[in-house]
Amino acid sequence: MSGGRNRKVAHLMTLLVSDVLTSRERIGVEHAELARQQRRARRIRETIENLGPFWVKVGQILATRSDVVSDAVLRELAGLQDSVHCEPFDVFEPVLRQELGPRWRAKFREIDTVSPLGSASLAQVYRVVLADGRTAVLKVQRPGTRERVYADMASLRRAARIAGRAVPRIGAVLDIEATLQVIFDCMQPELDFTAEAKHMAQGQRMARDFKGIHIPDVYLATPRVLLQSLAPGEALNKADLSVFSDKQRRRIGSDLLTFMYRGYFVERMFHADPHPGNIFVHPEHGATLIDWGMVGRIDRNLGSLGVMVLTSLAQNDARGLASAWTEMGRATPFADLLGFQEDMTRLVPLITAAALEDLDFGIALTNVLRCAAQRGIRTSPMIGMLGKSITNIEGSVRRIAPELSALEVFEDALTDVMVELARDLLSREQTARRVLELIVAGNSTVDQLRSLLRDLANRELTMRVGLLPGHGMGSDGNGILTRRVAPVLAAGLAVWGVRRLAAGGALARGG
Amino acid sequence: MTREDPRPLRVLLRSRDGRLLDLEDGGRDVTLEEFRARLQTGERLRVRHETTGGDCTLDLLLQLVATCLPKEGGLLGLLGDGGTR
Repeated sequence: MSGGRNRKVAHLMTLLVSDVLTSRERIGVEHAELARQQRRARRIRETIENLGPFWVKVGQILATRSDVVSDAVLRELAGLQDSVHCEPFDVFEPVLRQELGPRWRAKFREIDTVSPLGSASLAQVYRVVLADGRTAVLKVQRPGTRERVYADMASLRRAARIAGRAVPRIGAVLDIEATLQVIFDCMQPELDFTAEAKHMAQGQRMARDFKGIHIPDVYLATPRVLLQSLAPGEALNKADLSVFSDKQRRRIGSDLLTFMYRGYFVERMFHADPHPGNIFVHPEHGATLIDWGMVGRIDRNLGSLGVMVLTSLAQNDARGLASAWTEMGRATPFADLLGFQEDMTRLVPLITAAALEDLDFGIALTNVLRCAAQRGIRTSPMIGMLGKSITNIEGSVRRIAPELSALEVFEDALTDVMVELARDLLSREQTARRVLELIVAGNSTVDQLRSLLRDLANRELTMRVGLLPGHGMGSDGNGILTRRVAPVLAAGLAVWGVRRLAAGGALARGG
Repeated sequence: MTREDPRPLRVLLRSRDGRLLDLEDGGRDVTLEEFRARLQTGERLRVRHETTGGDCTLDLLLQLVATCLPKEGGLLGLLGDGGTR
């Protein structure tokens, strides 16, 4: 990597660290400081756009982290553009030859090389007519993309580690390795289009119960070429919605939300960027979701807790939300859990009581995420991505059916989600897992019980009781409980156990 | 675009006396065990209450999960009494 590029990366990291450090204060910030934050945010966006495609992806991930960067940076990164000037088709022809073979032209009757459908920093997209007459979309990766991106990945890893060491608070609240992994996972489908094709196949399986939700068919996928069916209609940000009936608009909006909820909580795989440009709508056909390059994945436990979080929000249950959120994340050594619960007690009624029909889950999650970070609770980077995805889909649905209540749709979808979760719970795989757990427990329980009883009989039973530093009754590092009460408690339990054993023995002898 | 057929939605009726009826199958009684088996095979099921017409699928799920889990995964299961009834 050139020295100039290294300097740009170092400059970007300095700007980001300054932003993270000043973004803690969000209330009562002076006008001059706000203006400074905005100027810095603009410089961050410009540097990212200047650095190229990989850094644009980093920016898009950072735009999901309201717990890390300031509001000014969030706003700037939301408008991050991944569009560059069109390159002539000659640049892409060698890629097509390498990927599809020397007779690649035979696959197409026509390629509109004059006006590409889109031009992003990693690929260019063309409208084509296949040899069999079908109209399709051809996406071709720019030459040399992989080498550039791999060099950038190494550079980011180095820079992030240095930043994490220099500012320990960042490392404590932000799981740097996990966040880097999310970024690299998001880049993978951009480097290998077969990964995007797999996401689309999974998306199609998820959409099978929805008559009005579609995912384009993949006709051909190689690491650098993707050929897919053309989505009917127009992108939601360009469509003329006056040609849709009210019923059609509401049906599309409701289907989109339900489909996404199912992705978040049942399939645990979701389109990470369902903004209006990625949703094509047609009055009869319904909605087609395109661009499956960036998807989010969450595990079973996170998925169930996510439902709990949204249900708690919908039911104005601050304590339930605080508890589910804490379970989803990890408390850092300086976490203030009671403070977080108080924040939720204040925030949740404000969110739900303002206007139930206007409840915006995405923005609500973003606020909770921010409070959690300020109270020292580390949250999985996937939750940030989930919040951003919900914000985007709610924004898209508001565009097509503004009268639709996200809360009502969620309540309808909840039954569907719960049925699928129950099906999962009662599935053969889950039953097999429970059987396995019982077998493992059955194998070890008798041994452990015998060992426990032997130690008790020999007066050798010892118990260790401890607490994490900073917790417990004391305000000092180790806590008073660890130093004074714990030994007394352990001794008491040991005496109680010995007496019980002795009494049991006496009874047995007496009986 | 090719796609798999949507799974049909089957609506069952919860009668006033708590029985579960499949009206599409001549009003036949559906036991909780059968409901569980049909759920496991991937059928899309919903339950409506006979009197109110309201959706009571979640009530039935609660009953189902409460019945199944303690037997299979609880302490009774560990001690050998689980899942036999």
